[in-house]
Amino acid sequence: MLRIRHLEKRFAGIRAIQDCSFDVEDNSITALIGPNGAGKTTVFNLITGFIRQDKGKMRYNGSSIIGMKPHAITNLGITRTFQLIRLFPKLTVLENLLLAEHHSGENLINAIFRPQRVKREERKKRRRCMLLLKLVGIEDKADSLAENLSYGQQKLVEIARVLATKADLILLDEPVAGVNPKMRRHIKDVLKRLQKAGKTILLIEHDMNFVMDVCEKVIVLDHGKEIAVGTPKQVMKDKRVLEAYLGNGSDGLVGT
Amino acid sequence: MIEAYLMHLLVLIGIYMILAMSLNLAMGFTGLLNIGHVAFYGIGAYTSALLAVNFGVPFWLGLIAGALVAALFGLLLAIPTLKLKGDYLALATLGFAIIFEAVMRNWVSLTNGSLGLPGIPKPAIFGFTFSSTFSYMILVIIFVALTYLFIRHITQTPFGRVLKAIREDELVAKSLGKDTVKFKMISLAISAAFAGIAGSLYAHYVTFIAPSTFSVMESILIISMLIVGGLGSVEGSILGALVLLLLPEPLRFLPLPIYAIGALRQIIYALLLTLILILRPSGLLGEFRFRRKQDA
Ligand SMILES: Nc1ncnc2c1ncn2[C@@H]1O[C@H](COP(=O)(O)OP(=O)(O)OP(=O)(O)O)[C@@H](O)[C@H]1O
Ligand SMILES: [Mg+2]
Repeated sequence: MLRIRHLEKRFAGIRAIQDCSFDVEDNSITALIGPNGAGKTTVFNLITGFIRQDKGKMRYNGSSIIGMKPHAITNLGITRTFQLIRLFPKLTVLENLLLAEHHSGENLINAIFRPQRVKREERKKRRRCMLLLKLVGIEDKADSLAENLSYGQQKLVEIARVLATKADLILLDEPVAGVNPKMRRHIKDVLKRLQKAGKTILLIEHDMNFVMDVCEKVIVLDHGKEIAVGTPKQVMKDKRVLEAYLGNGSDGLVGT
Repeated sequence: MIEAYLMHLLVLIGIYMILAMSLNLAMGFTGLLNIGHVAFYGIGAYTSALLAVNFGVPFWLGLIAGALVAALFGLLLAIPTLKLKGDYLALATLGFAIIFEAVMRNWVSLTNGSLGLPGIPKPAIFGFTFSSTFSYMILVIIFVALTYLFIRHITQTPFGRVLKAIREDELVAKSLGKDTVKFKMISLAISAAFAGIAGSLYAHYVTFIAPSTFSVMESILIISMLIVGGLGSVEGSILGALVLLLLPEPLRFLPLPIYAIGALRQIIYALLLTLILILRPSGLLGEFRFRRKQDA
């Protein structure tokens, strides 16, 4: 589904990503892990076109996505969340979701000259978004401003918004960071359900228990290069992985 | 006498209402920091005035031409600046307004320079000439109503929702598949077009325009109307224009020399803005205020 080869990205001298290659298989849930600063978020920024790579190839379903604008990549069927929650704070929860999908009323000509059609489509989309809110369990917050929700609720809105995009490849940057165990189970269920519905998920996560639970494949990144790829069990035993984490002195595998 | 003056005041307030509502579309709804709105106002005024004076083009055609030319300049300004990150648009629009005024002042053969362009005819539609202040007031009120209905309508559609999303967090809007540059360009072009209409209404009312009418300070006044009324509220723009233009009026009855009144007016504006920013940072009716943007 996604194929990345010899990717490279420098920021003012530092090599954030170097010679990084990996695949994401169709309909899988894959984890991208690694110490802080390993370059995980940068990989997401590269895939979604927010920053330009210096070298390397990226193919989605066989066709290159190099040089495409973010909105064009989204329209191919790739969507993402952000490490820090990013909703539209002054819009309602429902409006946040409604923005996730293309709407014919976003075309100004339609908005002015085809009000009936736009209204009909709006009603349909609102119903669908309400179902998604129900799915993640916050339908009672539909008309609240996003900024007024709690941290966990905002995280759920972000996931619901990703669902609303109808994307096939979903990139999640730390979906359960700072989330309580109950909510974490809930998010896990949602992800499993998405997989059943045919979606492919690539997620960044520091919580190894969560990764062991939901992912069938793990890619370990260190200093911008993949140092191990395999099942969660395999990579946990990999010597280089242990070194990367322990040598870095950061959070990670110890004790899990 | 008083009535005539009130009607005159209403015409001017109406024109500023159109300016404020149109700027609100770009600034309040889309988050585009446009400091040179006055230049689009001036472009509309000069386009329709020059067409009328030199070629006898009827008012309504001149008005449409003014709107189109203003929109075109809005697009020209948008293309190089909106793709860049940060508030380049603020700089570009500010520079544009300064250049516009300078060109109008110095292109004497076309605009008659600082002396201004006299003899702009009063509008005539279907043989009826809007020569009385009363009839012009009605004309302006109709345009205020049309502007209000149009801008309110589009900001309530899914199109307007995308504008607000861009204002809130452009990066996320992009990540949701919105071609944000395109939306920003459309927003700026419509905003400029309505400013052009306001300019045309002004020119054919006063029948005389000069570059000084369209100085950058005028932009600051319009922005103040938005801040007082509230960014992102169409009704707020109407209220803001009303408050800012009516508030200094009682000063006229004070026995003070003209220059003192001018200074007092500035002081009152400054006080009012400060007060509003302290008591109601998002304006009387607003929902949004500018703040630092996050990056990826
Ligand atoms: N826009 C940027 N400009 C300069 N340096 C950057 C930029 N983005 C990331 N970096 C640097 O690239 C490196 C990788 O950062 P990245 O955010 O990808 O790490 P990460 O693996 O997501 O870390 P964490 O687990 O802490 O989120 C870091 O050294 C970071 O400082
Ligand atoms: Mg990160």
